[in-house]
Amino acid sequence: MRIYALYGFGILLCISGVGYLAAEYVRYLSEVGKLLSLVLTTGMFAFLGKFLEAIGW
Amino acid sequence: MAGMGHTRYLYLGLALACFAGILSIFIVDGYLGVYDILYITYDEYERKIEFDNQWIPEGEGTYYGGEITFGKPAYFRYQIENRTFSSYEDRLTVSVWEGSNKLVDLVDKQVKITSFGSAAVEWALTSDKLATSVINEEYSNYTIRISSSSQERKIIFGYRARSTIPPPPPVPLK
Repeated sequence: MRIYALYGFGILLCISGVGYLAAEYVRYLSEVGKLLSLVLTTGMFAFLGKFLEAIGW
Repeated sequence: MAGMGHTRYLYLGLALACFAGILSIFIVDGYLGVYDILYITYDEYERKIEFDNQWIPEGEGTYYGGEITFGKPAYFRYQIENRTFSSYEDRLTVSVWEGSNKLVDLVDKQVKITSFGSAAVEWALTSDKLATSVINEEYSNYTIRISSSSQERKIIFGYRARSTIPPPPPVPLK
C-alpha cells in the first residue's frame, strides 16, 4: 500500500512539473501552435483512455 | 486475443506520438523565432518588457514603460535574440512621440545578428530632448516607437515634473 502512495506522489510531481513547464512555455507559442497542441493533447488523453480500457482498467 | 494486444499497443503508441508532437511544437514553435526585450533603467530601478512574453497583453500592442521624473535620465537597452537558422538583418529606428508629433529621433541603426545570436542597442533619453510642455504641466505621456521593417513596438511612459509648489506654511497653534 505504501508503494502505491509513493507512485501517486511521483505521478503528482510529474504532472505538476509538466504543467508548470507548459504554462511557462505556452506563452511563446503562436496561435496555430496553441491550437495544434490542444488537438494533440486531446488526442493523447483519448488514446491513453482507449489503452487503459484495452488493458482492463 | 493477439489482435487485442496489437490494438492496445497501437493506442499506447498513438498517445506517445501525440505527446512527442506536443513536445516538438513547444520546441520548434515556442523556441525558434526572433524575440526582443527592452530594459528601461531610471531612478535606480530596471523595468523589463518582454514583448512576446506578456501574460496580459497591453492595449493594441502598446506597453507601459513607467514614470520618469523630469530632469533624470532614462537608459534603454533593446535586446534582440535571433533564434533562427538564418542571420537577421534589419534597420532599427527609435523615436519619441507626443501624440502624432515626433519629438526626437534617438536611434537609426542597421542591425545584423548571426544565427542563434543576439544584439543589444542602447540609448539614453534625457529631459532636454523632450518638449518643454512637461515643465508647465505636472505630468505628460510620451511614446517611444521602436520600429523595424516587420514590426513596431510602442512604449508609453510618463514624465512627471518635480513639484515646485512650496509646502503650505505650518498653521500656528491657538
